[in-house]
Amino acid sequence: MNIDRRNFVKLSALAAASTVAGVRAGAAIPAKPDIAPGADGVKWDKAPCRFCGTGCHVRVGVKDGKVVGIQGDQLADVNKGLLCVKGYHVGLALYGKDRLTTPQLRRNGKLEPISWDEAIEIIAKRIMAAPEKFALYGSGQWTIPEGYAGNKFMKGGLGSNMIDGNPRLCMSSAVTGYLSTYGVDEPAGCYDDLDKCDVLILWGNNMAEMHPVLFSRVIDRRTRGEKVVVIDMSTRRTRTTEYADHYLEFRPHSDLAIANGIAHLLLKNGTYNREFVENYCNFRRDTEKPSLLGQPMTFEDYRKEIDLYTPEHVEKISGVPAEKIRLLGELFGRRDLRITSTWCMGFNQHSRGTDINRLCHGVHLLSGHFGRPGDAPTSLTGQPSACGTVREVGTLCHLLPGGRLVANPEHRADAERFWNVPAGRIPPKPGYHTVLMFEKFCTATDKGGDVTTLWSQVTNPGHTLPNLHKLFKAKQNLADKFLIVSDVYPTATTELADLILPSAMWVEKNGMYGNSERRTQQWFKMVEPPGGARDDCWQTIAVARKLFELGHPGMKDKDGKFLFTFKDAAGKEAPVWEWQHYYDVNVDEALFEEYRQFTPYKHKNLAPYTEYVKTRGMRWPVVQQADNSWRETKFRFSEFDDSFVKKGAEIQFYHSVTKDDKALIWFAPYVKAAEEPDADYPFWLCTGRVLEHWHSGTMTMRIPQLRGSMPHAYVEMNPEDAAAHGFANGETILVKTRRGELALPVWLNGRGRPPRGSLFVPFFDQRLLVNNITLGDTDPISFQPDYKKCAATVRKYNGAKTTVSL
Amino acid sequence: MITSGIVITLNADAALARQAQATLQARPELTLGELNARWLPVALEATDVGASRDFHDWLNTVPGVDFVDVVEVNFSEPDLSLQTDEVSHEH
Repeated sequence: MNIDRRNFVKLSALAAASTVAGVRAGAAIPAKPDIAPGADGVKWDKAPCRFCGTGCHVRVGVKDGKVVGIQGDQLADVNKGLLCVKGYHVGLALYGKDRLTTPQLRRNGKLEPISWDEAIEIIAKRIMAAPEKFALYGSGQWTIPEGYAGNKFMKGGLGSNMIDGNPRLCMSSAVTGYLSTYGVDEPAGCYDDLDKCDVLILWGNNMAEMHPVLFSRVIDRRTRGEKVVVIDMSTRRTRTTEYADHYLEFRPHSDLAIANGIAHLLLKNGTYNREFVENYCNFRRDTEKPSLLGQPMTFEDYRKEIDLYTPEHVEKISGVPAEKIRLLGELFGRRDLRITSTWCMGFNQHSRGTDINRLCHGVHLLSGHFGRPGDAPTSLTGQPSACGTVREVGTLCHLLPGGRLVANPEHRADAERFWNVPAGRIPPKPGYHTVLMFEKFCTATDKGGDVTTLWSQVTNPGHTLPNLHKLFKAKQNLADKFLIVSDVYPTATTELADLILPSAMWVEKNGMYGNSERRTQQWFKMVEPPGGARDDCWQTIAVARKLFELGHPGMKDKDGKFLFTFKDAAGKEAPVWEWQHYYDVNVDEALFEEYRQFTPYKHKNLAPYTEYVKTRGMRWPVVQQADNSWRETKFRFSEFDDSFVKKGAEIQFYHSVTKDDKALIWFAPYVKAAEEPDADYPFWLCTGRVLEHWHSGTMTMRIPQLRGSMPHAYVEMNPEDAAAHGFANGETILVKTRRGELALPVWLNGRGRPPRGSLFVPFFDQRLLVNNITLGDTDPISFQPDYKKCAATVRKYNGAKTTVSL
Repeated sequence: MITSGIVITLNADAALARQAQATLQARPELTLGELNARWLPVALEATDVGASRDFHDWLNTVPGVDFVDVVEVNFSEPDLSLQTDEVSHEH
């Protein structure tokens, strides 16, 4: 290595670290990054990280057509130059040796390379033959333009609502919680709440491992001498627990009782915020058959229902000592504190996910801990654009862009007008949600399995669906089913694919994401994808064009033009369906500007594309100012920051379900989980993530640093349970549920420490697929599966020895 | 060569923090920047991926080091094919 270059690289790294150290000590974020652009032949540009929903920005260093450096972006509000272990290795995710580089078709059981032209034609002909039996399964990793194109293709083109996305598996209960409370999706607050709160309550949320950069924001405050109380409510001890002032270990599913217990104390002690409740809240309970909007109830009825949840009763249900429940009640009853609650999969992957989301919002509303910086209930997401692409663009089977519903005739008319397609094109009936979509795909056609062709983009359902034998693997015995998978690496899903399409990823294409705090982010393509890999958005448009050529009437708008018509600067139509012309125009910009028309309806206003080019993202609603600048909104529904709130209102829930600008405080009872431990299956089994791996490990297991740190899945167990069964640390044991069994090494006193009677298995490892044995019971309103609870048993494993050591 | 920019959070105990700083100063792989409150910026040069990871693990064990955060990784020099890996599909 050239010594000058080596010194340059070292000094650049030191300068970056010095800037971040300064920011963490309280200095302002610098106006410009401190890397001299191009001085060492490395060109740097901004992009959001490819992994989780935090939305950290990275600076990507490119040299000779390859990503060669990653830096935490010092200009980014979200991460202020920090990254987690996955983030600073994100560049290596592009360079696994087994990247998919050519389309492959399965013939006689064997995958064979084919051309892109053949692949596109095969897909188009299958759709043409039976469009009503075609389904598109997307992702919270779709970019916003990719998701928008997929949604338009399906609903505006094919006239089909058979599109859903993997956020159904990770945050659809958060959506139904927000919708049923405020009448509109997504958090009112933002990450700034973490900088202002006095108390942070983590409801089943292992933030230290799952959102480590956000957790650092909180812990840094302590290091600077600020007081912030962290309360970790969990079913097992984790890294987060190490930093918590209070640890409340609760019995799985009993979070419902705990939330009710807090409300009980607020009412009993008279510490609820009467003025806030009278001015801004109504009360509601569910209908006999669970529904999104439920039925009204009076405050007195609410009080009667909540009366049951005394601290002692809640202790009996949850195992949390009554004095800890009182502690929560007292904290929420104080006006001098600011309290932020966060949650993620613990709430959402819950067979009462909608209810527990509602109850958490309700506790904040009842106590008035809402609407001031630091006072907020905020869900966190797991994917980089679950919010931006799926919740906002509406790539679920019941949604249209901008918060509209397919069941609403006015909403359908809006979409048909924006898309310039004939009235009546969009059907009123929602398509199949994810679990039902795969159930239908894995059921014989003559037995009601009416999805025969399924195209999966940017996700790995063969790994992440629950109860995989039923919902995915059953496909392999059904000859007329055809699975198309667009991805970047071989996965558990491609193992059963009939057609594989190699995709470009992250900075190999233009993109936009929307993170957990309503922040829309943009980046440009920086390197070429390998071999024949191509953008997912191009794949969708190319199939649409082939259908157009085959005469599918839905691929034309009312004027007879192709549904995806884009013009270049000279006003000439760009044939973007031809790969060599795809980047003749900025397709992302064109699609985003079209999508932007949908966003004011639910006050999710977005700025023009060019504004996002200039920033590290902006939080919607983004509102144009008198001087033509664009202003983001940090705190929705609060007059001091949200320009849509009426003057003098202070707080206004302007999409109120009850049309009176009030939010809803819900009552929902504690009920038992769908499957609880019993004599035959005496353990709770919980699944989840680990710091080093992102979801199904497709990318992170190809990064040696991450794979080396966490090479395989394991089962966490309490040492006393292990001793009772005669298990030694590292020994391979069998974990069995009613769906099957899995051999895993047992890890005692490891990173996570479950209580007696409880097991935890991470789901990242394709070789040890825990979703073969998970339950798959879903929330009745959001249809999100519960991955956190089922009954299991363990026993000695007599199979082949493994080489695992812990 | 893998070069990383790292921010180390030192312990609130000043004596322990000074001891940690001295320990870090003695390692030739590290170039220390100026301490800012409790945050110490450093550049780490490691010969390869494994050495970088081992060093990172060691940093976490140094008395007086509370947290280790990486803010930049430059992997421009080595053959990238050595840094990536296939996932075994064995079940």
